[in-house]
Amino acid sequence: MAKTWHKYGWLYLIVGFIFMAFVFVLSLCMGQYHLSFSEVINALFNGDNGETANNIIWKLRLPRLLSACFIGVALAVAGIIYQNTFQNELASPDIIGVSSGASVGIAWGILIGLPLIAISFLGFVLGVLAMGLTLFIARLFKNKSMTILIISGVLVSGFMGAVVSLIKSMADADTQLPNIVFWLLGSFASVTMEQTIIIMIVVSICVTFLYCISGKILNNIALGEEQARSKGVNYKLWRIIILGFATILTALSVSIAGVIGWVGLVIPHIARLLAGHTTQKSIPLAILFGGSFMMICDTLARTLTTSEIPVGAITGFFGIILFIAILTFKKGQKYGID
Amino acid sequence: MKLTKGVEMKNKVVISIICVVVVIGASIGLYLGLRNTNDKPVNSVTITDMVGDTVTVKKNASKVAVLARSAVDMLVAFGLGEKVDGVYYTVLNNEWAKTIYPHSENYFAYDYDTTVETYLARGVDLVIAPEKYIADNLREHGITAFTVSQYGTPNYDDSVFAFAEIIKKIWEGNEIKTKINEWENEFTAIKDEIILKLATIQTTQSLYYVRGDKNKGIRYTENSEKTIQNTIAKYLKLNYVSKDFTSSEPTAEVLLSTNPDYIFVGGAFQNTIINNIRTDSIWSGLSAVTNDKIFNIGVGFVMFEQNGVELSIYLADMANKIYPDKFNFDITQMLKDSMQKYFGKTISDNDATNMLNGKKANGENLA
Repeated sequence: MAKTWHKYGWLYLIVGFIFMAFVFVLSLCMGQYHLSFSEVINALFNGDNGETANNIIWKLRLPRLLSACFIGVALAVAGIIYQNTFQNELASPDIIGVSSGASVGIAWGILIGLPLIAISFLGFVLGVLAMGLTLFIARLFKNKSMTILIISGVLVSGFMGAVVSLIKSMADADTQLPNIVFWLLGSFASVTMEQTIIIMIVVSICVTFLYCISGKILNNIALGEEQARSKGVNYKLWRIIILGFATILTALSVSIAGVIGWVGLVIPHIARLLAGHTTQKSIPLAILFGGSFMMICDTLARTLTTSEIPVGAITGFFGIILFIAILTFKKGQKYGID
Repeated sequence: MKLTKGVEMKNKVVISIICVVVVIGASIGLYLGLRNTNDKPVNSVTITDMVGDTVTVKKNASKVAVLARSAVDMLVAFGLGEKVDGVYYTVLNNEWAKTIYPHSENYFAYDYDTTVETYLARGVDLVIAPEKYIADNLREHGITAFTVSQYGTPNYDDSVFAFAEIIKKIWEGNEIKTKINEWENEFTAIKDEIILKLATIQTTQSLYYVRGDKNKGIRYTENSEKTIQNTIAKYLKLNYVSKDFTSSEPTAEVLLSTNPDYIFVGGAFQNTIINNIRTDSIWSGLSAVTNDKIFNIGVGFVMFEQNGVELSIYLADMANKIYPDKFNFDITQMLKDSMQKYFGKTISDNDATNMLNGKKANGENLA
């Protein structure tokens, strides 16, 4: 299917963009509070619908939708980067301990009663520190293979998971514990417009950078150290830079919306199915699909019942179905390699 | 689609620059749009809630979502039950709630993670939250909310009347103020009498409180010196042992080594838990078990050990049970009077006894 890119590449992008825009507009009109399309447009551009409608659009739906979209983009692109860099198509953004590190920050922040913005910041910092710890442990083994880095990531994730369990055991069972559990399952319920703006800017810069290096550098890094060097790419330096940017995307996502699984695993597969392994083609598709997928999941999370459903549960539900569909579609092919 | 590398790179850079410029432009637009939605409250009052947050609240709020369980008791008791739109769902699981205040059957069942749009769709103009993070989140999204906490800072000593005083500020009306003042006077009188009579007693005995709102057995408590239980224990010259625990679920060995002299059990599961404590041999060596000093805590509209109007009855009941030679409050009559005065409900002696024993009106366990 990836071979059709030469023929239909632009068509995929155009259809993907139209679909994303459609999902955005539809999601903006959906919610527990009924607002007609004209009321939504009025609230967006005129602000003369009354206080409630304006609040719903500007303080609830718009920040959530934009955050969901950009975090979907961040996780999908981070997924492509990790899968490429680790030469492992089952790699996902939480593979080097970033998600579990950020989870510790979030759980700790809730336990000590920090304000929302400080909880997110702590999550982000510990997510990045966890990645540093993974790299440090990998160096202790004095083995440059990617497998060692993945094993270090598993160790750090396990350690951070234990810390989260410890924090949960200390949390108030009625109030703090449900909040920790709910946040770690993923939710955009607490996202504010200020956070959204930060997400938009950081994700745009990181994804733009990764897209700009998507040709020669990303593709050659995916071939391994020897081949990358033979093609004039400073493997060690670029690997750190690339993983650094992917880590920022992941840590930011977890610190704002909790651990949202499957997006970073499934979306890169769909993008590669259509665009092949060259990242300059798969990244734009992952942007469009990741953003759309997350917006759909979050809209379901906030509209299906009067209570919030963890968005991680919905991405898991659809992610597994999509993954099975992909595996079925790829049946007969050598898995993971075109 | 096959492009030369130079052209491809140029295209990528151009597309990237356009994307970043669009996103930054959109961010500025969103920020300006958000600023335009900041509303100026009309006919409002500014209060400081129980966690120190200053919140501007609509005066005489008419549709209130009460997630803080104890808060609904005071609102109904002080004549504001009609202003309540809904409560935390577990309040409605208690049969006494609809017996004492039948209108509560119309209340919506809220949860801590109810969507913000649900509040807006129901026209809620105030949310009373049990935790700061819930109130913070709602305020961030344009809903007025403040916190009524079960914890005080640095302890609960000065927080007993905090919510009642907030009610006075938000809702006008002499009847409300009169009821609040009377309740505060009642509590103060009982507290002062207890403190006076126990003035010469040294704190040597200990109290352990079991949270029985969940069926977690004896090892579930309130583990902070900020709790109302700690303050009540101080009035009664008891050492509240749970305040030093690092977790709300201490290990069996910690509990055994603490060896409390008195165990008080509240909540819907209290009778099941008390029965387990008395029959499970592991606890047979505890002083409270050996000396049969395990007591029920009453359950009415809410659990008596929470900060509701029944708090004064809870305090008097504990004083009777711990110091039977010093106190003889008529708890049954106090409860009947309280139900009549605050909820307009006439209850029988049998009802009062069942409430005080944490049972349903028919004498069965609450859960």
